[in-house]
Amino acid sequence: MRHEFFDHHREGNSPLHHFDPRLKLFMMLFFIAAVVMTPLDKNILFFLYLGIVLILAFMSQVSLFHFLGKLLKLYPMIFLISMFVPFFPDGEDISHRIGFLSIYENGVQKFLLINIKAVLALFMSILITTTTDMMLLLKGMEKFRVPKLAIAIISFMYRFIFLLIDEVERMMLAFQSRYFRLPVLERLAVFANMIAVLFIRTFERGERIYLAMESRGFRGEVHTLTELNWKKTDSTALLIFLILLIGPVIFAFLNS
Amino acid sequence: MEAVKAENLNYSYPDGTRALRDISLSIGDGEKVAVVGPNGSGKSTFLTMLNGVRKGTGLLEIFGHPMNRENVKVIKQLVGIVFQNPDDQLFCPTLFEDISFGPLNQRKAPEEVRTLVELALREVGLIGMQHRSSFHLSFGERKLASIATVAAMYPSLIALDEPTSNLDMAHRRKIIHWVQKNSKTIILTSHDLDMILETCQRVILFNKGSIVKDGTVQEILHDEALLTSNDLELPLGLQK
Ligand SMILES: Nc1ncnc2c1ncn2[C@@H]1O[C@H](COP(=O)(O)OP(=O)(O)OP(=O)(O)O)[C@@H](O)[C@H]1O
Ligand SMILES: [Mg+2]
Repeated sequence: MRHEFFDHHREGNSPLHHFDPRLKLFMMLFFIAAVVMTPLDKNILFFLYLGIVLILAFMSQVSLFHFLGKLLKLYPMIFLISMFVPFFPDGEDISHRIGFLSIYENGVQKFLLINIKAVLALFMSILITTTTDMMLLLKGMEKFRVPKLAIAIISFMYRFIFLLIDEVERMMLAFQSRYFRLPVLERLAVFANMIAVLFIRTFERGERIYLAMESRGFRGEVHTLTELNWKKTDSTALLIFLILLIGPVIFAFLNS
Repeated sequence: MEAVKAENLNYSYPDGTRALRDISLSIGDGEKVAVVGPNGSGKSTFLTMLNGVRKGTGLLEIFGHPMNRENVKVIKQLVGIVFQNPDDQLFCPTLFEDISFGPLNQRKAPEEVRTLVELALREVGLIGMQHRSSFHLSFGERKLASIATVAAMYPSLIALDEPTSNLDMAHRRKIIHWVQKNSKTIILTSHDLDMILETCQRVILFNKGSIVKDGTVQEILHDEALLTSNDLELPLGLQK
């Protein structure tokens, strides 16, 4: 069934695929922090960020369209969140009237800034998750001292989201094969029922899984066997990444 | 010592369904016992009571430990249950994690855990699949994997709920061999009476939550009248 969107990991042999998950997690976090903290008057830096993302995308040997496709699916969310920003004045603002609406210049700038930052951050996250196995990412997080319980929750989510999708699909299939042209209101009632059933099923499944875990000796502690090995190439990559990112940032700030 | 001893065991679900009524039986160490009966007769409920997952009324002893709050921990170490639905049993991202979950909780050393996983996979014939995600496996493979998760813990009593349902011939055969060569106490439920003929010596017939008859394979699976009156059929291997 349709799992591709979540099950996004692509097997690959590129250098990016082989980087240590800790390195990739660090690059992602550091990159996102840098992007988020860049002020508007240092906008030249955004080209640098774009360059870094593109280099990494090129290194991954995954088609750029694959990344863009995913980005396109997520972008509407950012747009929806930020779309009213241009209509609110930011400090002393110059307004322009379009019909009955007024648009503010600072507002538009802010809107653009939010969108550029969000797209860059998303692009980076997509890049990393597409080229890293979920299991390895979780192990990387464990090494970063993310609480084990949090990791367990993420891993359950990852495991059961597919089951949930399948369950919804099966229910939709059962519905579609039995009904044929239902008035909208009745259809809504059916969907409401489906959601309720899904909720109860999920709840009961959760209970059964807990029983299965308990039967296998679970006492609230998560034990894992972690094996990651940091290679020389990882250190080199980390160094290059830091120089590439930090150098220009320092330069930009010194010049101001 | 008996592996399982039950006297007047009763269980009702929270919604009031009486799933088990006055179950009394005893199962010896090393016995291989099949629990049969029509759908909804309480087989799965009975199995889940064996390690304290569900708590009923009446007496239940596992290897001499009465089922109670203090003993539940010990009992869970002794009893391994393979649930009917493998999706309830496999909850980790990869098979390796799933199978190592039990041994790690038993605080085994990392090297030993790896060996145990390797062995369990070999036993059920899934060697080389440890890094596959369980949601990428077929139903039969998931069923075998869930058996492996319990096998890796080496419990003294293994309870299998419908181990061969939905399996093809080859996978079913693997499970039959696995049960045959296992020296532990095994209690299984199944609608696959032919499999029971090959693997078990004793059969307990359930209907509507009560034991109708408890006897040897000969006494129950060969008795067409008894089976028919309990919505079951003579095993194919015995039909003329
Ligand atoms: N979670 C539950 N809540 C309420 N009643 C339940 C629950 N699970 C099972 N039952 C009821 O308890 C009875 C026994 O169910 P059980 O699952 O033990 O049957 P079974 O013999 O395993 O059947 P099958 O051959 O279909 O697996 C049935 O009448 C069933 O409807
Ligand atoms: Mg059952």
